[in-house]
Amino acid sequence: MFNSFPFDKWSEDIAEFWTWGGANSTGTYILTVLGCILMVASLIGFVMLEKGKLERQAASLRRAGVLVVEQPGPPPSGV
Amino acid sequence: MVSSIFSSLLAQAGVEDKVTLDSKILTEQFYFYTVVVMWLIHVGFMAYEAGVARRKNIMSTAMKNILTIAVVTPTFYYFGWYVYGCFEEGWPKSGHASPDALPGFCGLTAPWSAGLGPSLQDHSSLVFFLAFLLFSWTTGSIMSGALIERVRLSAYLLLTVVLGSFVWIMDAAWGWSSGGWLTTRFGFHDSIASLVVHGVAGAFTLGVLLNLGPRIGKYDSEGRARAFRPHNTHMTLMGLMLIFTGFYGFYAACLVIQSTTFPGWLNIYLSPTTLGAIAMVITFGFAGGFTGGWFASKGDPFWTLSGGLAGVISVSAGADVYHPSLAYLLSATGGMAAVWVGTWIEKGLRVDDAVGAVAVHGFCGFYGVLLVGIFAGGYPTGINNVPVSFGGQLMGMMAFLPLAFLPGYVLSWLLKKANLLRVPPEVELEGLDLAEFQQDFYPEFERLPEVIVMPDGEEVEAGEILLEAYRSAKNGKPTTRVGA
Repeated sequence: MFNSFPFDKWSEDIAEFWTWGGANSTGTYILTVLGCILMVASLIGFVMLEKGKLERQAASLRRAGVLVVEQPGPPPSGV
Repeated sequence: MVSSIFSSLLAQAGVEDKVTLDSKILTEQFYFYTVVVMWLIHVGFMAYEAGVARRKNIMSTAMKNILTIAVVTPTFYYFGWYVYGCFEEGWPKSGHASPDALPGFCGLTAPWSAGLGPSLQDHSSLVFFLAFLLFSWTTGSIMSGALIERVRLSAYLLLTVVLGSFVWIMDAAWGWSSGGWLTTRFGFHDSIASLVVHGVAGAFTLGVLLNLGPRIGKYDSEGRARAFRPHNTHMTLMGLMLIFTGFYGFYAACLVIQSTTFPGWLNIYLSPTTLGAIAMVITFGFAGGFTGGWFASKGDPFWTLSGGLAGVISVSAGADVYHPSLAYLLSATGGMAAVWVGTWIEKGLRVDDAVGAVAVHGFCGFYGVLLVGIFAGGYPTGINNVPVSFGGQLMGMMAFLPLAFLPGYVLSWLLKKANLLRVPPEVELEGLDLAEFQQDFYPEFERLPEVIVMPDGEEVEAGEILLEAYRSAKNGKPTTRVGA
């Protein structure tokens, strides 16, 4: 039964579909450009999103006064 | 005579075509399953590093390993693989028809080419790409552990993109390919990537650590090292064992097999070897490494297991050449050296490498290539059959050290200047997980006071010591380096 499958014909049909075997085609170039845009945007996004989170948390901790920074005092008298 | 008749009969019956197709599909399956096994390396690195981290930094540590996959996969696809295909001769002499050793390979590595898209006629290009992609993730994971508990997640991801999708793959093009100029001209031999993966990632990491600085409280006012207790050593040891399991896939993926094209197993330089030979070397490498690590560290669990990794890395470069006994002996020295070098980096250089990555991967990666120059001198390497030599191995080391160290140092310096390298000190003290995820990841367990191990070995509560280190830095005192 399986010998009657028109596998070669199906293979040809699949190979002609635009996402398959479409090397150096307009569709492939467009997909590459879109993928590169997502790649770069995500890297920028990772930086910006984290920057905001960390700055907010650090400001909140400073406001809470948990980590009071001692300012350097004047030198002892007589020195 | 008989065989030619037999071949002609096979051809008439169409059997030869089917055998060829079966062989190609077996090759496809082989690399596919190496990729599956290699995922365990990343599971292992995640568990290993998360276990080493203190409770307040668990998820931010694990997330680095997870997001490595998110950033290195596209960058390696869009330009990393192209670097490998086109820069084997240093510069692509014949454009996309390069390199001479593998004509046309360069053209098949562009993201829009037939080699990187689905094709019913091609059963090898995509799985071969995937095996290399997993190596790229590994370089990122090697760096990841060293930077934990103070690096910004986004800074790590940017550094990983450069390491995983440019630096290591340029090294691989030059010295870990059939047409690489270091191999075709100098006989450079690093068959299972001691240097091109591990050594290079370690050197890059050292460059980053110099700019990142140690964790707050790591060193006292006299520069003596304190130690932070891992929150879960069991998790760390299990992670290392998973890495070891994945390494078998890594080793296998470093070989080439396609029975209708080649007569048998080949290493990456297309020199003959066998899967059994390299599997013996990795196994004896673990045995020797554990032994060396155990004795050099006087039985420390972390360094015993790290010694196993160091042992394997020390013999990987010559895994296709070494006798198992030689691998056992050499890996024991690698396991011991990793402990000593790691201790010196921490206490002598005062560089805070949280997992000993520079010693285990960096030092042992370079050491492994050097050993090949000594113990496998004269071995014919690659398509030009250039004999391995001490000078050729040194040439590779001299080419790769600056190629790895300088990008790590320069990029981390730029991130530091932009205040994007390190988390704010307040966040570091409180723990990164609350800032990044607003969660404690062991909510059902009481939060006990943090403990720190003093230089004399005494365990004390860390709170006041860390606050003092933070205040010292804020007041500009030079005793504790916590610059952002």
